[in-house]
Amino acid sequence: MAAVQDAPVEADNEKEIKTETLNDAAGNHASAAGGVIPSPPVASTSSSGPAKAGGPGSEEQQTLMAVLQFLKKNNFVGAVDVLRREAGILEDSDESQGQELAASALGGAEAGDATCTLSRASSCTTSTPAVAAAPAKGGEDQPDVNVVLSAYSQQGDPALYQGYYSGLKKFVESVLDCHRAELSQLFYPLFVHMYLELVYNNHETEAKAFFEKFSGDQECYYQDDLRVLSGLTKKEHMKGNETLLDFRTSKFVLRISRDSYQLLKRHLQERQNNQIWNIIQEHLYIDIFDGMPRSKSQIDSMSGSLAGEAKREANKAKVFYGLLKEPEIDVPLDDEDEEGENEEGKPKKKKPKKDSMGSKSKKQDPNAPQQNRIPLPELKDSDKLDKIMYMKEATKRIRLGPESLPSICFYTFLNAYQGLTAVDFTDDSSLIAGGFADSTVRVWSVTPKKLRSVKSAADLNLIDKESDDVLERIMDEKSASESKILYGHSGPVYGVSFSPDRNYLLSCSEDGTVRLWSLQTFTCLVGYKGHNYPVWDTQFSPYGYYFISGGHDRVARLWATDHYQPLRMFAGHLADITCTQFHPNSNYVATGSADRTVRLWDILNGNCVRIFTGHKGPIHSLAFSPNGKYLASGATDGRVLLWDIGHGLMIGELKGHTDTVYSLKFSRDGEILASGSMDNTVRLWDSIKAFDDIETDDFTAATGHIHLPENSQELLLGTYMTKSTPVIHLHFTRRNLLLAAGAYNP
Amino acid sequence: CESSSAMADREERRFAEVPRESIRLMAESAGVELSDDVAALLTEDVCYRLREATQNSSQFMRHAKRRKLTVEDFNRALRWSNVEAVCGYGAQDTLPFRPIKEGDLFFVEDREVNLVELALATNIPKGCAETMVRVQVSYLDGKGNLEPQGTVPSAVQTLSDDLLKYYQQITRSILGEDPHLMKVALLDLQSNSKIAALLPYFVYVISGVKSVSHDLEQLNRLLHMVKSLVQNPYLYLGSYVRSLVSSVMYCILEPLAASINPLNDHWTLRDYAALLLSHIFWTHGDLVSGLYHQILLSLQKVLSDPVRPLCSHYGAVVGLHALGWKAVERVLYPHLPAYWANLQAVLDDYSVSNAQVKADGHKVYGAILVAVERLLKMKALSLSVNAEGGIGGLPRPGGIMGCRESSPGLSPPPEPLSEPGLGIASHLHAGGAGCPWEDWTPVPLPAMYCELYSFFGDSLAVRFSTGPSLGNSPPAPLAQPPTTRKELPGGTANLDTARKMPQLTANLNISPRQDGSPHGELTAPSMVSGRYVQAFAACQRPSGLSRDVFPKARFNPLPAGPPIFSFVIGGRQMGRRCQGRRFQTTFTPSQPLSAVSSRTYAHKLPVIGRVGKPVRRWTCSQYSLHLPL
Repeated sequence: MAAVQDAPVEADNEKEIKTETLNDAAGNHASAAGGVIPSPPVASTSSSGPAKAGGPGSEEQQTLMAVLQFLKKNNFVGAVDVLRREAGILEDSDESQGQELAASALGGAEAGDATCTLSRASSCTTSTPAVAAAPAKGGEDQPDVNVVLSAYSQQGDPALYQGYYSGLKKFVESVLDCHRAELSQLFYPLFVHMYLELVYNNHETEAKAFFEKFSGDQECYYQDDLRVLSGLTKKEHMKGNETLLDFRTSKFVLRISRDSYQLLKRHLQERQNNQIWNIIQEHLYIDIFDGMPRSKSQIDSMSGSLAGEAKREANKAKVFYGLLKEPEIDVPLDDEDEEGENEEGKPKKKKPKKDSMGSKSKKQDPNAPQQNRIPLPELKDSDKLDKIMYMKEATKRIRLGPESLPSICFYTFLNAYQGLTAVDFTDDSSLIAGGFADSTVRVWSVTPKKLRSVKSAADLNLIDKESDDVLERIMDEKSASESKILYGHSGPVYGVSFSPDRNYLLSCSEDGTVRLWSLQTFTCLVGYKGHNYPVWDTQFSPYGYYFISGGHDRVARLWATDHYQPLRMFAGHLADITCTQFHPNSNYVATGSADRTVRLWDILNGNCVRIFTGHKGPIHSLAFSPNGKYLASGATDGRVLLWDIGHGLMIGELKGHTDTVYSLKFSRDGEILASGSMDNTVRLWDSIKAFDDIETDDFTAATGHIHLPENSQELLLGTYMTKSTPVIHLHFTRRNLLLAAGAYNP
Repeated sequence: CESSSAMADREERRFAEVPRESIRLMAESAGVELSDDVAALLTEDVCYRLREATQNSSQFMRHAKRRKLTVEDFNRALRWSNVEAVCGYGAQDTLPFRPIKEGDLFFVEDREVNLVELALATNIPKGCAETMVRVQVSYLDGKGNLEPQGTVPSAVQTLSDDLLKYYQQITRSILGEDPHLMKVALLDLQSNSKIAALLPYFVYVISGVKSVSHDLEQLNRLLHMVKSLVQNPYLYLGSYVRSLVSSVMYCILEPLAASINPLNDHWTLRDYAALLLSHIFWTHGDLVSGLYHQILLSLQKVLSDPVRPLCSHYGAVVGLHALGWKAVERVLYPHLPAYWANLQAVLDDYSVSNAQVKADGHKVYGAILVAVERLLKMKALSLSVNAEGGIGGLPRPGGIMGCRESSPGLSPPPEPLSEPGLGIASHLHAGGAGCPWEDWTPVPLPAMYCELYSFFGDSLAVRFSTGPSLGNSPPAPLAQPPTTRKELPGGTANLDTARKMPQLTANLNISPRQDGSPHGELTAPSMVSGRYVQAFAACQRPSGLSRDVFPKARFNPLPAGPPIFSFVIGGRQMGRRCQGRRFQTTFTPSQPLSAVSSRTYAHKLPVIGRVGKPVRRWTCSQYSLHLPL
């Protein structure tokens, strides 16, 4: 991979990394990856945007001063020096300037001390990457938790909070209908922040009363968070509560039309309602747009995430979602034995190729990335053979559609008392791997061909290396068996993924490691340590070599199989990363998270290029459409959402499942989306129709305000029940037969 | 003692809370006194931490793709937040959470686990299936497959070639001519750990008893097959127990075709089947609920059916006898008055044409006598246990249902003093035909004795031998040092005495004591028995005398005060001795497991009346149970 470093490092960025290093108690830091590739500051600047968005020079200065103070307080002398040198701040000036700035920052605020303001300022800029990179596990290893929380110390009269809130409520109820839905968005973040302020300042009874009175008003999809909040009534408990830190460290994003915003502003100014205004200023980010206010359903479809909606800028970056050009392989030349078939086979072969793989073979797709944007491993001979096999199979592929639904084969895991937690198929559907809660990974051969391991080194020496069938000779016939068990993890295995060439298997586990297994020797080759907390999912790149992992530490890591340290770290999610998926062109990865957002990351520079909000529960499955244009995501709320990657828009909502959607898969040509769920069903959806129905005119594309069809039932092509078997994996064979897998759970 | 009931002074319940009192109690148990304020603060913190841990644990559940939060999930959450995990609750099955009404106390029931029982348990499914993947075309072109998903595919159950060969060999050897081969086959069937898949086939073969009822030999072999299967520690019989029991019951109760010829010794077969039945019941009875009562009911039905031939009645009696004295008390004893009249009529008919029937009648008579005798003895013993609270720690296998012994040979199962598993299925019989379970009340021992005496006269009384005098007889057997007794093979002693004194000591089974516990003061216990309870008789030698010693008086129905019994317990003894007894003990259930002489009445028993033949024949037939293995 090319060591790409887009010239970022100003003082600001440098400082970010510093803080991160200092805060990362675990000590595994991106800079460690420097030996391989200088890792860019992966925490995208866009996620810490607010500070800079309105950022004139003075604010930047103020931030710098705050950071300096922080570093000094913690005796990071070296860091102070470096920062001072880089930022060009004189030693004597910073003290006085800091005071001055603090004083100026106080303008408007009724009370508060300098440190408080400073810390607030510092938290604005540093908190997002820092906290996200090292989730707070207990207050001790998180020095700035107190700093973060201290922003709440400023307050008004606790008795008046209810009045403030109900005043705003009255106002919102009184405005015109078209503004009401938009302004209602304010309720939830305000409610939470006011409640937390009360709790922070030890007004327990007021806080409880406040909660009692207004928690019922909140949207039902926030109830999980409200449940967490309701348990939290003490200041001491706020430390180490991750949900709370998330809320505090990230500004809650609201999209409000300019008209509605003006109304709100006028109201608050008239009423001199400083308390609410302060909260809005400090903790909320209002993304103002020009145009029609949105309707309630439009707002509801996009909200629900932990930190509000995505800012519009966050989804502006260009994404090269097209597919890479397939390497030229002389396909049919080698099958002399199929002369007769070849005659008819040829035109057929061409056709599906064109249809399924688009126009990539001839001219470059304008939306595709540069072929070498991400360095990819060269094709080996065996890969080429496999490609040929693939193309041959593709000619026999069944065209699916609403009229011709796929047949479904169910792979039932019997006697899986040790708890099946993850499943994967190889692309050619010849192997199936299962991860189990008893820390084992088991691999089965689905074909009559048994699994054999390579002979031992001593035996290999005896082999005639010149013989034609050397590949056959190296296999140890005695080891042939239908299944193999891989021991190595010390906790439940939550994710497994085959490499595309079927030589390797990845597994990730609660023990914090990702392991790479050889399917030649059935031994563990590498244990990738980096996540110090449970790793929830891992996924091989469609081209092999790279893989992505994500887990409880909220950071997704990009690895290459031959590097023991990550190449990229994608930080920005506010809660656990629950699932990961590679884009078909291997230039992007998508991560789903318990913060109820899906993010798309650019592998090249580590930037977060898309944030999709709209799910109301943790996301547990992701699937890219084969053409790379669309993304589907499924969550615990049982809904599947469809996203247009290019425009950064939600384009569909598939309702039907009654429990967590654990697996999603597009058919090979993308006509059918299959979803498997905990509710023991497989459902098939008409994805072509779902994509076509959306008119993406310029306006919707510009504002991101889509009108989803009310009813997704007409997209549902079929519901297929299993018997007491949750569907945890789906796979389309190369001929479009749908394979499903799950453990029989009597 | 942790309670999750909400605090009383709080109206709204947003979440479960631990009351302040519990916290204080817990602190006390750790040796800390808490003031009210501290307890209140601590309570809130504890509640919060619990909630936090619960919320954290839910993500482990979600990622394990489960709906049920397990203790393990919770422990993982604790571990990741650097809290010690809670041990001891990892079991998959639900933990019963119980309140104690009086104390307002809640607790998780934590039963003591009998490790010995667990270790010896035979119903652990061995060789249970590997984790495997099975594929099934569920929906063809979107249309549903008729076969339901998730059922275990038949392929899993198909037999491998080896197993099939084994099956053929075994059945052929067992049912074949060569007795030696049969012995080997049975032994293998008894110890092979890999034949779980064949169980249904064997059970099917055994159910063939109904088609070979003319061939005693074959029936015998099939019963031995049952025995081997039952004793195989690796087999989990499951619901096949029912089928096995019905096959065995067939041999016990049916008027077999073979019994038409009086030369055929079908009695032996019935005795053996009865033994087998009790063995199955005691070792596997817990696999099928209500089995005990179903067996009792069918035995009772046969007994109360006068149309049935006497051999069926005989089967019912030995069946009841084998199931234990409680069964006899419950079924046979209440039924005896009605049955007696029929039997009497048969026995009193001296016509030549009746000779065969009469002989059968004597069989039944003898069987009833033996059953009744043990009933009396066991009842006396149980009374004494109740009275004295179990001297010397008599093992009282309460709720004996789960008592599984892999006894070598068909040695008699431990006789419980309590009713097995009555609670489980007794409701099934409420209002059912036959025995009125509901209004059954135990008859007091003296009354029972009186009634039985009215039937049997002195032939009953003579079976209760006793020491010549109370309290001053030298305890002769105890004089032997334990070591020498150890050497003494119990079986031979048993045989010897039995041969010498067939009439009186048919029940006398002197097992040498292993422990030599100091019961030197033991004076006049008369009867001895089985493996568990051994009472040492001071009087076995001069059996000839004993007749004269018995005063010829009726038993006084009102003994003064509760009788006092003494007995000695010998634990289950493994090792040489048991090996030695392997085959002799096959018939021991006919010998009452324990008997205790009652000082208050035993010596008063008269010795007159019908004693001889039936009893002797009975014992003889017992010996013939000894199978040609």
